[in-house]
Amino acid sequence: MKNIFKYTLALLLLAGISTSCDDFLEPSVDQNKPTDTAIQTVGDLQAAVLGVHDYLNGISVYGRDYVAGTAAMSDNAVSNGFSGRFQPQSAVNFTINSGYASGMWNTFYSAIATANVAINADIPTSPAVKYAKGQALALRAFAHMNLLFNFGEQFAGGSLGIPYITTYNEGNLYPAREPAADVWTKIGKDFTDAVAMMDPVMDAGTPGYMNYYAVKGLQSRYYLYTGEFDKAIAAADVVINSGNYSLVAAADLASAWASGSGPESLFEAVFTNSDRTGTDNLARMYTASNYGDVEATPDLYNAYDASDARLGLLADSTAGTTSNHGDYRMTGKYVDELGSDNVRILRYAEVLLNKAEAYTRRNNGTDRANALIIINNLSSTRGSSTVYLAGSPDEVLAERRLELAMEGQRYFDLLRNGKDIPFINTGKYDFATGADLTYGSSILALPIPRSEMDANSNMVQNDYYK
Amino acid sequence: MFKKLHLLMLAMLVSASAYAQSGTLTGKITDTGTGEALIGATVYIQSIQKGAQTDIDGMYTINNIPAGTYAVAISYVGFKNFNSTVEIGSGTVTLDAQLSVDLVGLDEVVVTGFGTIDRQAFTGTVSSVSAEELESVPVVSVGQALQGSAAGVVVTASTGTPGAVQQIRIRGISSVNAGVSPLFVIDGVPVISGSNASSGATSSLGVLSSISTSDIESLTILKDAASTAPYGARGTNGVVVITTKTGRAGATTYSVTAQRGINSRAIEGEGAMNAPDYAQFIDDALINTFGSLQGAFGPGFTGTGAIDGFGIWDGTTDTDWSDVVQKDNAIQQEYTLSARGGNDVTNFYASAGVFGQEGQLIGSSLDRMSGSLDISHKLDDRVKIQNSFKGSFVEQQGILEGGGYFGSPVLAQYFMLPTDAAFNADGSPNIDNLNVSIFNPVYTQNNDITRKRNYRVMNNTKIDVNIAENLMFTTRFAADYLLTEEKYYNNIFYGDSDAEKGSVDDITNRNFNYVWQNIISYIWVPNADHNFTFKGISESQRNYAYYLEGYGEGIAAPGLINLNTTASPQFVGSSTRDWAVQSFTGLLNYGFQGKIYADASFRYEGSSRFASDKRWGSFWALGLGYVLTEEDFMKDMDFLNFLKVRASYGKTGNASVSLNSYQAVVGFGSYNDVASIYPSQLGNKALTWETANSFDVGVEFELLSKLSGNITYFRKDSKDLLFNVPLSRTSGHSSQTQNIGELYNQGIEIEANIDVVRTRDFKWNLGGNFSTLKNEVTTLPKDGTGADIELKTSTRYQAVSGYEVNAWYMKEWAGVDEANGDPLWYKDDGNGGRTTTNAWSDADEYYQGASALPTTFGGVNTRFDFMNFYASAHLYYSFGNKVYDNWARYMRSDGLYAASFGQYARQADYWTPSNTKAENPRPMWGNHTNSDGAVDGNREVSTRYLYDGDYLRLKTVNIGYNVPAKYLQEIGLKSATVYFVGQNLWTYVFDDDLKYDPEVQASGFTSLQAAPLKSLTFGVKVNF
Repeated sequence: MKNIFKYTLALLLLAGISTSCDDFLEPSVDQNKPTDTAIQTVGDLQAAVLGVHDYLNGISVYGRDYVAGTAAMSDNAVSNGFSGRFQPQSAVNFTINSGYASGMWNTFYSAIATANVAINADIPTSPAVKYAKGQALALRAFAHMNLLFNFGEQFAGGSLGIPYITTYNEGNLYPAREPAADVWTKIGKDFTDAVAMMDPVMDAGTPGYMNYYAVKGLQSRYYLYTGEFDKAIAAADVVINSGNYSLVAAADLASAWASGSGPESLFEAVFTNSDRTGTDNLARMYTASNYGDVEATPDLYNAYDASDARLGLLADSTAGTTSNHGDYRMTGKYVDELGSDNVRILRYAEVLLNKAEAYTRRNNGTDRANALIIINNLSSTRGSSTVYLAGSPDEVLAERRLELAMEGQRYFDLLRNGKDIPFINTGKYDFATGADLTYGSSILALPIPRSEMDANSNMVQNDYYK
Repeated sequence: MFKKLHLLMLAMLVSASAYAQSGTLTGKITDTGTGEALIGATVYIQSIQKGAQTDIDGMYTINNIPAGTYAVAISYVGFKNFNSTVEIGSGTVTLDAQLSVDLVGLDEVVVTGFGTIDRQAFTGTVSSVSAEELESVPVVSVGQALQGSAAGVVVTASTGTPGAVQQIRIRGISSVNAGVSPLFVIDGVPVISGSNASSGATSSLGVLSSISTSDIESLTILKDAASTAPYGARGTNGVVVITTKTGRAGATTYSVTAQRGINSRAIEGEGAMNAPDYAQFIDDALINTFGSLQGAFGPGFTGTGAIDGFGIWDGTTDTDWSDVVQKDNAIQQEYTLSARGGNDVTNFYASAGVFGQEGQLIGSSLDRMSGSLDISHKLDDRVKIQNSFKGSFVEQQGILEGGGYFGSPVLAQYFMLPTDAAFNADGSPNIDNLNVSIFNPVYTQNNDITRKRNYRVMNNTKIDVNIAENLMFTTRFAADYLLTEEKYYNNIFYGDSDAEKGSVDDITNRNFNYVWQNIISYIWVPNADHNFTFKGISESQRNYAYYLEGYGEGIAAPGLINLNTTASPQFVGSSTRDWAVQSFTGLLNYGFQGKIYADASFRYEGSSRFASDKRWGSFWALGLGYVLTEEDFMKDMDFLNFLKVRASYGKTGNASVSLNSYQAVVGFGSYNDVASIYPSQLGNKALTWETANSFDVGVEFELLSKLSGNITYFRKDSKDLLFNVPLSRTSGHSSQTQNIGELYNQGIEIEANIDVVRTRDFKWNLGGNFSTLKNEVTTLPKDGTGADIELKTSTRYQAVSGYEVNAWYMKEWAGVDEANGDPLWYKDDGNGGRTTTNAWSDADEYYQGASALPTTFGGVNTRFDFMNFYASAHLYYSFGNKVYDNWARYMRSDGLYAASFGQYARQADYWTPSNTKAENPRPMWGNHTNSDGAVDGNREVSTRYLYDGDYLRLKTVNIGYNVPAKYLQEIGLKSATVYFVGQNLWTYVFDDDLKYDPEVQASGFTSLQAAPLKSLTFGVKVNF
């Protein structure tokens, strides 16, 4: 009987211990923090702004696809399909399953979500807070602008834009597309607001982070699309007059590119040894000895003057061999095959070219002459013996092509100017359709990704992919 | 368990004073049917805990029995128990017994994990696999032994690499996004399953492979609500209960087994295109596209062919890379030693084993060392302590597989060019003169390391306390520590890391899991007609996982494989995660006159995977069994030995969702080597248990003492599915886990077994099981406009109402246009019919009538015994699923990857003006659709690469010889068996176009995985 008592007591004790409270079931969260309390200090806010930057160097966007993809879509490059990469871009023909389209869509919108967490963070204001929120606004505008370029119908004979997202996890999570005109307006406002909040004194001194002059430079690009040439020139002038930037001498051009970052850079996506794209980087796409799918066209190669330092950035990988078939490679801008080079998103030369384009397209009084000065100066600085005579839009565009080749600009430069995308016959394996792509054709807008269409019944597909 | 102990205590008190004189009990035990002596039958006098086993003549003797009257129980596996009463005086009493075969008796008790229940009294649906069945199959992991052995269970290997995770599906797929693997319970304790490793690019290593199958006593698969009730909250996907061997009273028996065999691939698989065909193929692709070779290479080109133009073939080299990467006659061996014995107070089981298996692909292998010790000890008449300890070390040399890895030997066998030599003249691997970006697998497999190691120790301590009459308390603490080490070393000179001058990636994942269980049970027998058993169980389980990884590049010299010798550290990472489960369970069993049984259970379980106010769920089950043959009105039906009908209904749960899914959190990354923040999970505070309502009805029978079996119908309705509802990506997130959606699984399961012939010298037994399965999604989440949110991919409907989960749904291949060699696909003609198109983008998608899960499957087994010889065979069959070759778009690329990668042999059959009835279209350089000049993403997806998965496979053939006892006695052996086992010796695939092994991973994609193996093994088993 005594034993029974003893065992019963032990049992009750055990039962008491095992009937523990809810604490036992509380999981630890060691790698993450709750979203609603994540941003409490200016340091947290700055980290969120870096989070936006971190999306920009993804391989779906500035890490690779945006740059090499739009190059292959333009008359600057083709894909030879050696590893099966960038063929749809070369043909400018996609499906709704396109990983290129979904990668870009998803990455830019993730960047925007992160920017919105920063912008809407409820913390006491200070100059540093203002600056960081300004950076986030500028990055939000920039991400939307890239999305609009690719997915909007403004070049493809339609008027639909994209959803412009300004909140995180609030309101309707299944938004519809807004008219492209409205999206342009919202991008412009975000850039303007960003400028007002960012004091250039607080710039970190590295083009790796969104900064005051980068926003002005991006504004000069933006206003070319909206046709607000006065504003484009004014924005470019802020950059030019800052005295912070200059063109690299022809002799130093190759080494400036090879340095991985450079004096002409206003804004760039940073890669470090511990944070790089690995095998999927741009150098491996452009270099013949690696994947090497994306070749420069003979049309681009032959457009350079023989003394142009920029020609030195291109290589003919089969030159001098018996099987020479004109294999042109952009090896000078993306050098490191491990992918630790930064990818330039905005360079000083572009700001100059933006100004020149604004002049020549405004075409008031001495505008063409002013444009001519800019492009001849750029051309001669690069060591070219080409001398432009008219300062016409075509000449500005031609010089712009030489300067920004394979940097992911050409395709939209043509479309912005209402031009067709020329079919370049490379004389060898190529996937293009064999005809120019007409400005306004519905094929010029990427498909809204299938995953988005399936998830969001408010989303409308672009005409070509309906 | 409890019942026996209790009676034992009672009996001890009664017999305490009777030690005046003693006698001897002896006799012979034989088989009623054959008259043959039964060797090893147990004769036991429970009241004094004395017993003996019969010798080779069937004789037994028990000495020193105090005078008195005793109940004697005689038992033998597979035979009905024989009970008798004897009066012992001072002399020798003889008790002979003839035992009759008990067909149902093989499963006379059902092991549920929380104890055993008499089969007759059990109201649930289970399938069992015995130790004998497990022993007859030389496999590394217990999952492999399950295939075809149990109705309703589908087992597929994730790959054929030794030690890989086995994917087990019990009664279909109960969920769309949450886990669909069953819960594993070892010795009463839920354990982790699957893989504990981080890398998804390399061969998987299942944690179950750390348990040696020779240590397993029984495997029970719990399928319905009543049987899974003790695990209700996690029982939706079924429960696999593994019971390991424990000590047994009696003289110590030593058992030694030795097996050695060879492996090769079960079937040949797709062949690779040979060099002459390949050269011609490239020429034709170029000419078809550019009009002539000059069109392709320029007007000055004077070569005779494209291979010549590219300068990549010497005209004679013709390498079959599948021969290069495959190893025929890979060795497999296993040696085990065990000892088992004990007395009235202490019992033990101890074992040690080594297992080694070479993979069939170069560089892959598995080695295991394992040991176990189980001891139970009775402290006094109330308390018994049992401790079971297991330790093991498993090392897998794996490969890159399951995707397009340039270092994967599976990929290399197709992607390497037949025009390149595998070896140089001096016999070294050719790495300098390859015209392909894939690495020569001979070099990388010999110089790189892809290794996983599991170190596992499991300890299970149990204390039983007999508090009072009919009242029993059990407490159990089980600890399971698993350390997984991964090492990925890439050499300096060649392969994935030559640009980085070599790399080392070291990963460890440590997992510690503990379970503490308390069980109180009470038996109440108010009168002879009624008996009740009550059980109350509390269980607490917690799991801690710790991951640590370091990666570095730049190695000074070959052979330095650790991080310390890398010049450039690239990455370090660590993370900790935990989860916990707590539950309170009540079980009630009721029996009426031994013919009507009822079970009821209730479980209240909390899981750390849900927010605090959604954490707890209630689960319950009811079961009813009625043994008709116990009724008087059935007694005169002599042909019917046993007939039981049973039904169960209950609610089970599933919480297999990613940890911390309910929380809205930000993650931390880095940009420019500075910490960054980004929102990583939208979260859902309302997240809670996914549940299923299961209904089961079945009949169990035995006829003419020959035929036994059972037939069961089940339907399982899953609701509140843990569904990853896709979000608009404008939210910054791809999905949010919500409790939404419904689906059901239903089917019929039949198991039957017949003794066709049973004589003294010849026996023939035939058995089998048959299962059908239907799975359908019925309700889906709705979007803002009220439309279903459907989950689709380019190959299938993952979740669309009216279709099964993962129903194949894609564009349909219509063959090759005989007129011009164009590829053709079907599309709607607008009038309810179909027409064809040569533009993939114009084609329509159609339901393919199947998913990756078979709809009809099972096994047939037979066994012959002739004198001392035996032979058994086990055939597995599976019908109704389809298999998609998701890499065929590269190897049947119609020219897209013509000069980049090798092709399947079947690609050589392409359209030319003189071969218009070809399997493949006219090849076009760089463009396999050759219709609209564009390629992208999944454009190539169509039924061209989708095949019927129906197949038959001879899983095992076992031929053995039991050495007659008369020869063994002289050398001191109790028994000896020599045997030969063949696995996967024969396979029949119904679809001629499916060249791959039909046994693919559960997802239905071939995915460049190592193929299943065929093995021939010779073994010896000796008991002494």
